[in-house]
Amino acid sequence: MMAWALTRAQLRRPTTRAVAVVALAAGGWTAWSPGTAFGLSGLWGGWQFAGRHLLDVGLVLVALVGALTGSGVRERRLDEQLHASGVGRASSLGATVAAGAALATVVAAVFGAGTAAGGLARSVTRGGSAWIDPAHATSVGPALLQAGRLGSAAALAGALGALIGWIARRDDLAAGVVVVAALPALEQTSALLGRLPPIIDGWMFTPLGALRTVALADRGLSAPGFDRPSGVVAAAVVLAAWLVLLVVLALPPSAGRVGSTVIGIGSASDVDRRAPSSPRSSPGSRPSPRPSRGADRSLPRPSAASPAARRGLRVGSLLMAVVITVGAGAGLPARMAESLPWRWQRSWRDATHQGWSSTQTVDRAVQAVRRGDGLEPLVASTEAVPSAVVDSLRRASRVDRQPESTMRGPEQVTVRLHFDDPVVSGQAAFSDYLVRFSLEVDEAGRWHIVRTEGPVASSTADRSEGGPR
Amino acid sequence: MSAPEVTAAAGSARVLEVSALAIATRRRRIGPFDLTVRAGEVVGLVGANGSGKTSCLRLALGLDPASTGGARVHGEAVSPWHPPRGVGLVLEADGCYPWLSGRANLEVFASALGRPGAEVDALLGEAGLGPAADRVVRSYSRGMRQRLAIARARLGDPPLLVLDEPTVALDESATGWLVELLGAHVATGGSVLVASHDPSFLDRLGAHRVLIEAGATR
Repeated sequence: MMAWALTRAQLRRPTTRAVAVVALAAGGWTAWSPGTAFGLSGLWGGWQFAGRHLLDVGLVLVALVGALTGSGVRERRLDEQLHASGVGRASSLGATVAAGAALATVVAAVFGAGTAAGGLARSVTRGGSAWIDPAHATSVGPALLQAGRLGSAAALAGALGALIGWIARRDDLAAGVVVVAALPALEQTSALLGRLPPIIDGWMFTPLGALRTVALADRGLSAPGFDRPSGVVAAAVVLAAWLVLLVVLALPPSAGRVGSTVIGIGSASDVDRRAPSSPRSSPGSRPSPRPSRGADRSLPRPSAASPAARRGLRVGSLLMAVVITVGAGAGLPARMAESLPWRWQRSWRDATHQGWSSTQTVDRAVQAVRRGDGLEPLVASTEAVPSAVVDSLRRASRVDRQPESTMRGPEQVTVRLHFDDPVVSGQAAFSDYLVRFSLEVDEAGRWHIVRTEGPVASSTADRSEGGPR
Repeated sequence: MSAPEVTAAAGSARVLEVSALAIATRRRRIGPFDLTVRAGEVVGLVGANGSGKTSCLRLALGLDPASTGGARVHGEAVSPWHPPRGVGLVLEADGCYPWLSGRANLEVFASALGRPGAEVDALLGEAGLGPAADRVVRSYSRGMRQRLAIARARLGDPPLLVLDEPTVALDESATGWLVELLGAHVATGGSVLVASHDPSFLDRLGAHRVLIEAGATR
């Protein structure tokens, strides 16, 4: 009941609605943006293609609404009002966390609607989109499972945000903390932060980083064969530890906790200066409020933690958590490192630094073919790139490589070949073709092309003519 | 969650008992406080700024943990883990969602307490906020927000009202309204604990005054 009341109150908050609008736009853009040329289109396809990005750009948004729910209760002291009315802090905290989770789920649903709308927009836009791999067009069952997992992850992110907001007590502070905590999930910021390996590795050990690792199981929900259970379990343990720590910090101090030593005394002498006449109160012969027993009385030993001690405990706990997080990131065990999203893994960053990541290899291969140079250092064998592909690459007016953000893993890179003069095939004229490179990494960490598929027609030159797509 | 009934005759039942309640650390010492509020009684806490009036209220209701001592409300021990029952609280902060209307704020609170929203309109009307009930609180004056906070504190008709500087934002007529309201509350066996800088307000309430001196080390 209380959670529902808090949820409704937050739903009517302009900030919450603004976040929902941003989520809708972000979902739409994720599904419609140029990267969609390598994804799926239409209502269903947009969601399938872009839904998993809920835990990229969407993570900031779902955590934010959760945090504002938690801080909103505290900043306006509703928890104190409820406490005075007989509702304990633990109950208020539970209801607040539930409200944060519910609101995050709503925002996640809005994001999902945005991806569907973006996919629809892409499907009716000239240039369309491409089904790069029909195997990735999942059926209803797995898609619902994906929606369930993403929704659960969003709810958990909202709950985490609500806990952080509750502890922060203030809207601005809570919003700042969760935005900073969720920023590494964004494509752009993760690329920037990736220049400092301990930061991006350590992010896995933060609440939202661990959540994302658990939810995405390394490489995306629907990519088969990429689960690495050991790392997911480790991240789940980290996430559980954070939840316990945050709940402990959010709950009121227990009565039995020993605080600092009492040195001195306080005084509260009282005097009865009752008005000579009182029209309304009728105290009669009641005794006056009992006076305190003097100003020089020494207090007994405290039975509960002092506020300063509690603050120290909280600050110390958080500092310890940060130190452990950064330390764990710096000394990330190899098995756990494999649980990081592939673009965050050290091996990928090292390859990128050397100029031998799979995308860089493909870029160089495309440039070499179009210049007429040889491919020897870039391919594992001379048959890796068939002559038909070489010919098409040379004749194409423009070649676009698939953005890394749309790749499910480093092993396959797709390029789009655009022809200003459409290639006529039967009654249809095709302007775009796709070529997919498969790559493998050698012991030196360099990626080489081992196989190439295509070119396959992607879109017609003029859709208004009704040709096949 | 319902408020306990005041069964004892006015003037005899101890609604709030505070015994040697204090916060004492190296940096902050407040208390000890000894205080008793009985049914049908108004107790006013007076003292200089920073003397600890608000801290006394917060300790008494278990909003802050005490280093020593204890408090009982309606005979039940109170702490941060054991909330009091049957208390309506008005803190200095108005504690309302500014983006909601006055009515919606009270409905949220009533819903959170598991109470029907039927009494909301009546309370708003008594607070003089009927015409403004559907305006967002952000557009309220400070005095209107204070009236709203008082109306909210009265949800469920709690036997004990605890108010912290309730007249700060109120004009003369509103203060008169509050005096009448609290007087009626006391006349029906309710109790009031109020911290205020306004001696005339306390005089009009006929409050027992308890002087809080700074909890400074002597």
